[in-house]
Amino acid sequence: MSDVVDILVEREYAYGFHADLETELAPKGLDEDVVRLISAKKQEPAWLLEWRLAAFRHFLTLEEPTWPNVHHPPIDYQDMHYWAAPKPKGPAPKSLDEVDPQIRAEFDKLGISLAEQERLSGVAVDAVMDSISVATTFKAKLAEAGVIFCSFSEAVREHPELVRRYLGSVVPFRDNFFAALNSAVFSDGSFCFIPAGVQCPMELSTYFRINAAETGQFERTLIVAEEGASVSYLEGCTAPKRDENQLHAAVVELVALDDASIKYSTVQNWYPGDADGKGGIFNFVTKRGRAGNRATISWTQVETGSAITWKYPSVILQGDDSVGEFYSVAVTTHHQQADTGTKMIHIGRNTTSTILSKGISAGHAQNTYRGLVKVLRSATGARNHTRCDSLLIGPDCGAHTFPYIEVKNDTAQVEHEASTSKVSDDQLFYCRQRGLTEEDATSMIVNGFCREVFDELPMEYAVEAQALMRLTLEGAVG
Amino acid sequence: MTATPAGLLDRLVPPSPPSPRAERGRDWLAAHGLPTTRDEAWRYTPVDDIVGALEAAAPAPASTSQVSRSVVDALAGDHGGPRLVFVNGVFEPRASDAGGAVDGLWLGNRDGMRARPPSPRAAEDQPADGFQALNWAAGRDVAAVLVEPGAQLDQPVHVVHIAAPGEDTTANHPRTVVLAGPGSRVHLIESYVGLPGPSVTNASTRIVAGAGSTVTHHRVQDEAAAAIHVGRTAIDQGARSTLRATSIMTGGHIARSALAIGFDGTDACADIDGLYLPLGHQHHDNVVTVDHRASHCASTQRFTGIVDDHGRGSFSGHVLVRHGTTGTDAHQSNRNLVLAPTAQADTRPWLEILADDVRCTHGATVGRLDDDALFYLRSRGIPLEQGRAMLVAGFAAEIIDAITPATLRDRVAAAFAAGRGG
Repeated sequence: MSDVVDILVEREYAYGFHADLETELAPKGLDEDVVRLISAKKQEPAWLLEWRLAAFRHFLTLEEPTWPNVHHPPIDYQDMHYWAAPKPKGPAPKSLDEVDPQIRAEFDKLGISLAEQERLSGVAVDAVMDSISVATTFKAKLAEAGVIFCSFSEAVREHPELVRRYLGSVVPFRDNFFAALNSAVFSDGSFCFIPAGVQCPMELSTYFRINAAETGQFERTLIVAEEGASVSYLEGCTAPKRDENQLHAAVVELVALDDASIKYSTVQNWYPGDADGKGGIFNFVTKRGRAGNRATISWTQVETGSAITWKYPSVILQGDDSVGEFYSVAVTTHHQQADTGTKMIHIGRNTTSTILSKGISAGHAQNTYRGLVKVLRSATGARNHTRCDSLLIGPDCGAHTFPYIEVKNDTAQVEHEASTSKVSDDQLFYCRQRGLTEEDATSMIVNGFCREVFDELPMEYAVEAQALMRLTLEGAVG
Repeated sequence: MTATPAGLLDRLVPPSPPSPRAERGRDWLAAHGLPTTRDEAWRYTPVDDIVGALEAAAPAPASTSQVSRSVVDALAGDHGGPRLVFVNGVFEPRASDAGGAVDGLWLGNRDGMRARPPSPRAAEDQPADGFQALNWAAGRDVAAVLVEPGAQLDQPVHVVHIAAPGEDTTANHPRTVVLAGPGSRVHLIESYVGLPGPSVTNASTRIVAGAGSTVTHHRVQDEAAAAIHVGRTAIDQGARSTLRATSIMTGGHIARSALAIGFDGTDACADIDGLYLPLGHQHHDNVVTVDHRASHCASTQRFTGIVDDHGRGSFSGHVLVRHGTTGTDAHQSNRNLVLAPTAQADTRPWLEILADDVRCTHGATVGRLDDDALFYLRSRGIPLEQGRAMLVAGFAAEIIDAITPATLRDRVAAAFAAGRGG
């Protein structure tokens, strides 16, 4: 087993390159002028600037929370750039062919070939580099169905009434420290609107990439599914290798109106830092969805990257008979830390939620599941089932389970179960007896451990997630 | 933690601390203050109400004229063995039965303890929280149970703490120390009961289970309806020791019982049961910490809550497996039955694991009575109300049936039935 751990600890980050793109940077630091500058750069309407400034003023009154089970040097919020954009080499691209070839090359390297995606895979992609959305594919085809899928900036320009109606409606800027910061300085992100009764004809996907150094990335994603609409949305993330930590504080808001369904999948592979825990992304994200009557919101996440992952994709089950789901695999190796989980707030009658969390911890990593299931007095007939399992690989890692269950309704049925163990010696022995190497055997066992979550991912991503898992646990997993 | 409300220290703590421990408690409290609901461990405790009651409280009178032997029998029962009775935290010899000479057992209070050589580790203790610090600072006496190495005690030792308030709220700070020598066997029953009236009981118990000892500890909190109870029990287990601990909460208006178990030696095991039954507007709060700081230890927690009316029951369990330990086995379960639309159950079954050679599981459920089981009973001709009572009793039976001796089990069963109107 110790060999496996050694190899595991030596794995390399495959997406650590960066492109020497000319980048336009705001000066370091954060004050009202920077907020105004960002808003001006994006030619935003006055109401949005006012909203940003209100968020910024609120941010100044807050203190950074210290309760999560993660440890990092203090973040200097004045020592980073809040605006970084690949410098345009002319007017904005009108079609994919006009996108800067260097940017396209970078996305090709990441396996997100924008052109190929358009031709072959039938997945619409919005690619976000640093603060700016650089390309969105398949727009025309989506428009035929009435689906709006574009960068956030474009949505502010083209569909201000929709943005204004839903922005901050699920995660208000007063929500928490990082939500306030994001609301003040958010740069870009994806906007997605599926009109009533429309089943989105293809998977939507956003690819986030941090390229510039000493920048924070603060994107904002807003997905609105009107009555009876449905959509499946994927996000992927990578960043170059750098010695300093970079902050990524995003906000994702999902609005599922009556009978709508939103499936949100994440494969998060930000740069995790080197073997000694130097560098890496601080991934502090607020994700929340609001479900109307009979609506479904499903979060699936595969978290393998980031020096620190700290997020709780949540569902407010406001409507009667609404459904919330959370499926998560979080892998931490080296000195990575993860404090992740979910919150399910049951408000409507006969609301159901399912939580399935798998944590894998190796090396010196610390992996924490933290989850809240809250059943309010009004949530008659609420149901929740939670299962969280942790797998430990090596004697120096940690796995923690911090569930909170608060029930105020006597008709609710809430169940929570959890287990923590190492890779079973018996299972390993059985596999090795059948001629598998220890690494292959561990790979099989770990993949089996995560299977139930991978099954929830859209097909293309399930394959990618398994490949990523192999890569992340390289050595341990063959 | 917050600053201790001005005047609280002056009013409740004697001006010249009677012992170094009391001095440490006072200094700690002055430096750190009492906890607030912003402290994670006190999240589910209405700590503001408790502090409010303390602010209004006077030190409890030491007068014990109301408490006779028959009163103690009625409140806490007679379980056959020796009995130490403390009223408002002060030893009451007239109601006690120190048992004459039981081989290998020494029972006493602060006066008796002073005559004995001090325990070396007692000088280094620091309070775990503000309430324990207050207990040390303001406590006036201590119940001491010392079991000599190898002594095998057949009869249970009963320590009774009675809150005897006046017309206004009074505060009392009972402290209990139990030292079970290596290889000894002892069964301890700790009863917290009270006479009617508003009181705040702030209890602190320390049990040291020596290597190879077997300790059974039953803690029963059945105080008066207006009482507030905050208790902390710390149990340190030596190598190969066996602990069976049970915490029963039926009384009080607001009651919190914290139980902290630590394994200091290898191959020890702890079996911890709990039952809490908030009714009316009662609030019962359980906080359990099991610290696996030695290898090859096993712990099992089984806590059952039945919440009814406007009651609120909470369980916070925390299993900590330290870095460098091996062969840990830890299990935790918390089942809750919610019987009224206005009742509330909160549970936090936590695992914090820093070693890989572990087998840890936990489970928690919150639900109501099983409709199918009720239907089954009704189809057999059992009326609805009786069927419900049977199922509720069955839910608690796992914990109650395991209580020993029978006299205590019957008392708890009777208190349970009385609370449930059966």
